[in-house]
Amino acid sequence: MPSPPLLEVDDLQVRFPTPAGPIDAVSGVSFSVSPGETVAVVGESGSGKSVSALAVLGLLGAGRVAGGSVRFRGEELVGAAPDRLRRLRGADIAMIFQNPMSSLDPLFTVGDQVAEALREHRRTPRRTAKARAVELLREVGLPDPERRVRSYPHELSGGQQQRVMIAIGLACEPALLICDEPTTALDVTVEAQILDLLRRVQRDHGTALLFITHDMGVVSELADRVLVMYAGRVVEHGSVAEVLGAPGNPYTRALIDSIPTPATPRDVPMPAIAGSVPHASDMPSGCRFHPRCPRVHDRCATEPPLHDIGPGRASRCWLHAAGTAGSTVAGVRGVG
Amino acid sequence: MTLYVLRRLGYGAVVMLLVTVFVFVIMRLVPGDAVSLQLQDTGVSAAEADALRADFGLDAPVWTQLWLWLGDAARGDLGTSFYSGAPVTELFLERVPVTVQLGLLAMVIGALLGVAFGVVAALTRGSLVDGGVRLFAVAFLSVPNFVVALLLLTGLAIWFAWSPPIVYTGPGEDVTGWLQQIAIPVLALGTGGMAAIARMTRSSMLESLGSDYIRTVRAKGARQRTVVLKHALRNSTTAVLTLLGLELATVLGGTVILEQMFAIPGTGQLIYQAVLDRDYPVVVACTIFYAGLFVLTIIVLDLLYALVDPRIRTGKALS
Repeated sequence: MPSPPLLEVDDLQVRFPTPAGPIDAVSGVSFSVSPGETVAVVGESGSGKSVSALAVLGLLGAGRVAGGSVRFRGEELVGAAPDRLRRLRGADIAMIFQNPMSSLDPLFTVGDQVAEALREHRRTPRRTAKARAVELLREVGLPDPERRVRSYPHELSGGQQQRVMIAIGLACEPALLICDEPTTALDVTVEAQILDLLRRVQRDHGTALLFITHDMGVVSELADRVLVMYAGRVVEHGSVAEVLGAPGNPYTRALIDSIPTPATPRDVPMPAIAGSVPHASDMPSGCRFHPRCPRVHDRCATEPPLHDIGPGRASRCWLHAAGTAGSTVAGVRGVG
Repeated sequence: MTLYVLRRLGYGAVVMLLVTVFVFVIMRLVPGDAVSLQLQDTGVSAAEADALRADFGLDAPVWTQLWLWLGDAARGDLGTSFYSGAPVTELFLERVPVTVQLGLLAMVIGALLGVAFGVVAALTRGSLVDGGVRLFAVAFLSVPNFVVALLLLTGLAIWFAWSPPIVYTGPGEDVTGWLQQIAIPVLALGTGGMAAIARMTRSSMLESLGSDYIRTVRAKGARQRTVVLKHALRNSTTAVLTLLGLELATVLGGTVILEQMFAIPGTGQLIYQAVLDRDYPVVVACTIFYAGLFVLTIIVLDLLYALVDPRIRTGKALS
């Protein structure tokens, strides 16, 4: 990475109180995002992807950051004053969400909601903000923005709503845009349009993207680097080409194998990963993936550290441990 | 929109007609009539009483009476009181403003305080303040308004040696006297609504504050004031409006008792006395007033819904 990172998350731990005692939704997650870069975070539901992103913005709700640090342009955000975080949100780090329908306030026009993003940060006269809202809506490809600016969210389609969300995100030209599964609720053709839009935004504004998804296809299309999360931990990270081309971790491998391709035989069951992500209150001891792992062996009873397996690349698996590394990675590749 | 209002007004008229017929008939089924109550222990002969009944038109069958009354009412004549002999319309119109002032003040105060307490409770969820608001809300919901009025009256008299003036003066003549007089009834009438609205505001604010769109507003970096007062509160208003409609019924019922208790010459007192006296024309007129007020309020509330929520405005609901 040539430029200093924009966002550095180090050993992040996020804790939620529950009636049965506190649980850690995210433990020891570290990653960084450089200016203009796209970093994808993948994993199944419940792996802690969204929680990590919300922790960056200080939007955890009931949860809290129990340890680690989040630095934005070198400034520590964990424990920062609420008003400082508020000023960063929207202005320097914006976020768009999974479900655009419920993420827009139903009682206000989309123009209001875009203009609000501006007016909460800069002293902007109402008319200027409205004009800028029209401009932003045009930029995100909403048809007929002069008229649409007066539409209410329920009058727009899902794709259009997500474009509005992106317009809100871009209002103050943030350096980092966090996208939390922005296309999951949309159909495939609309998904492609939204991804195109995000790519264009990134090219035109040099915005860095932290892209949360569970779709490996989206990762390969959009991201420079990828972070694979499982049960609140990073299990593998590296460049997209390397991680997708030759996954080091059995979990990454299994995720990639569960993507159907036209060549996938129809008469055999899909290679889905058996079982589901363990709940944070009921975490298996040792490697968190071991109950579902096809390559489980004795050493998995202890939790493996992240092994460096190349430049800027690491994987959390005993198979990379000294002596066994070369053969087992190949062996993992053979699975499926 | 206009069509919708007209249709609602039409339904309202039907409801009021049914209420009228119902009350008209029920009142005549209640034992004792105006004449026997008026003339009891006066030694008037049965023949004279019958003559008086014929005079009032009470000797005819109920359905004939109803038919005649409806005919008169359609011409704007609601009859005359059996007692004072004054036209019911006149009797009634001079009392309507008193009750409307009382009820409106109670509802407005209840709504404003209720929303304020609800918002504070939602924002301080789980704290002592929240607990206090919830406790008092349950207490005020459970205690009927006339008990609240009695407690206030006794409390103020014992601890501050203060009691409201007894002779009613309108706000036009003596504002301070009027305020002193209606303070307790207004508070007593308002507390029930306040408690219900506080609880409703609290729960719908909490729901709204936990919603996706509030997360978006926060992610924009909006100030807390914008988050709470603009987005969360506005999204809670529909629930509160629904409650206001229901509250009106309680408040109107409450005026009947409280006006009697505090010697406030409003329609509540009028209907109370008229029922005791079997003064049929007055009872029926008051009932129509209460039903009409209720029907109108519900229509106004429906229109307010549409004003607050664009989804109702553009949806089929108002077509």
